[in-house]
Amino acid sequence: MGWPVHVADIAAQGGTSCVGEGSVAGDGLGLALGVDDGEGDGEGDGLLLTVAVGVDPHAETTITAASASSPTLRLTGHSNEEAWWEVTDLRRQGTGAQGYGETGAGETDEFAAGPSSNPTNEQAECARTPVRLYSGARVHPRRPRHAIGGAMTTVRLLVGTHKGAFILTSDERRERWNVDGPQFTGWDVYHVKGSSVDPNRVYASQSRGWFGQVVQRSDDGGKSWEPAGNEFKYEGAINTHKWYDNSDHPYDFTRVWHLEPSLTDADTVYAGVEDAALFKSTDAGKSWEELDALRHHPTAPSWAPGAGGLCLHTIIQDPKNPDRLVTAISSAGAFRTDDGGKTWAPINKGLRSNYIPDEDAEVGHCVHHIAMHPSRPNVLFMQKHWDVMRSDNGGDSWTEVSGNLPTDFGFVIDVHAHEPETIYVVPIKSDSDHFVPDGKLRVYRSRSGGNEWEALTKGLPQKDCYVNVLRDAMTVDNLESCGVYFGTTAGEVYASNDAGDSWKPIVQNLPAVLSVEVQTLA
Amino acid sequence: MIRVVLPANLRTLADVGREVELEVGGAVTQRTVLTALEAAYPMLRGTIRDQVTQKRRPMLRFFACEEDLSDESPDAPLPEPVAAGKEPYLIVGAIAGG
Repeated sequence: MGWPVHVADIAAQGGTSCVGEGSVAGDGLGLALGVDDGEGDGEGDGLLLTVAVGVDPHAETTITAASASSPTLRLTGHSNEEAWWEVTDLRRQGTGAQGYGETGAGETDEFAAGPSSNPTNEQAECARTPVRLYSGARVHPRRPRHAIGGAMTTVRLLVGTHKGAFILTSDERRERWNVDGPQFTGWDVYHVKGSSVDPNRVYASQSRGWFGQVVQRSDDGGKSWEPAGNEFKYEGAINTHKWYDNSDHPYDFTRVWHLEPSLTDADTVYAGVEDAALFKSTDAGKSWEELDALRHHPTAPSWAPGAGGLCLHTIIQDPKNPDRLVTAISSAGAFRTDDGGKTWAPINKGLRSNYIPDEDAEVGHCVHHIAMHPSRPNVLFMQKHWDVMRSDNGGDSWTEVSGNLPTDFGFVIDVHAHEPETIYVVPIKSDSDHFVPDGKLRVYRSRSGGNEWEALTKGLPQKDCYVNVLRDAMTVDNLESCGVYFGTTAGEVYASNDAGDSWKPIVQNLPAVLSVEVQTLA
Repeated sequence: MIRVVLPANLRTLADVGREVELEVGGAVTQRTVLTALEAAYPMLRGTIRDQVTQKRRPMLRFFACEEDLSDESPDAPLPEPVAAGKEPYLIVGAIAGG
């Protein structure tokens, strides 16, 4: 008796990575894991055993493993090839056992474990009896890109909607999702995003026309929340921007559109707000300071709002240069600082907006969203009001890559987690008809960084569909088979766990979705 | 004790019931009541009146004893039944939207 199990990776251990499947036997748990040492030469690759916990999603699992008091593991080789084994004791307390063994096809190997003072998985409940481990043939000889040291990966989606926030969780298979929420019931939640430094630190922007802005902070991955600071005070003199009728309108804080946690410090977070400004907190959201050089840029008095307001909605940090930030404002354009926010420059060369008489206008472009792959911070992809654009020089100049898209209007754009030239958009019919064209919900993917696009439709409604996908409502996870997620104004969140080849709704009938972010948790 | 009734969204935010009770030292005015309210529930700062200008947010109204006090001076004394805790001070969200 047993049940199949699946483990994504244990790459955190000594640079070795693995992914595979095995079976839970009646007398214990065994996982047969394919190993790739990353050298690319085949040497050192093979089968790797680890003992893990919690891998069966349907039952409590008690793990047994070798221990100092009963230091024997029996390993039975089932495959036709010789295999070597690594055994890791996962005892919660006290000494553990770890070491290496080797077995041939059909052979049973006794493994005498040595003590370890460094148990690798505190979640494990470890009995003191040996376990029988089966290698089996269900090994994925693939190199994983993520690491979890014997524990399951959790994928956590943070979904902001017009009436609250929802948190969706799944294991790495991304087949069954638990929906938790709503949080902040009745409030607009424009954005929820977790820190990459401390994934349990999550920030949420909660606002309401009646009551203004509240920033919420969680230190337990969204289980509980605490209101943080909500005083967004513009620095210095209040200047003006253009209003819809071209009159001058004083800058007036309305809400936070986007929260961008720092790449290096969990207490530091940026906020992009309406009316357009960039704020920064270094105390976990308690207090906010405007990086006001942006709002005091000489072009700022000419900035005019888009239909959603004059909002700073995109904040991109350069992982290789902490002084560089790229922001985007509707409808002023994109701006970049290379000195941590002291000075800013418009980066809109090459953008063409048919409502602006001057083809080379420095500002005034309605940039909807920008995406970047962290491995190539100089390559930026942009979904503009109309036109999909790319830059290969950090925004200094842009070229259009709309190619064969059915319409190049849209809001979202994102980049595959592992393929920097694979990008995704969701074309929208037009600026007057904010829904997908022809009643068909289609994600378009380009594997060439633009120009050549393919429609991804499997699992998506292909008739009578009239939804929109807003600018912060698409994201990608970091699992080996890249997950892609997006939310619609009809309250659905769709997921693909095969980089967009196929889709399914993982929750439906939520309030209109404003934002979707994902965390891949070890 | 001064009784204050909050709109539903602010009850959620402050994690309180329909009505809260506050100690207000000195004169009982709209300003002193709101200041005491924000001191007891800091998460409400900025949600009822602007943090910088102290002006009432435009889509909220203040009522007491069947009177609309929204445009009264924030430093005018509140009606005696409010000061005595017999009647609540009401913070009401505008009926808007659909």
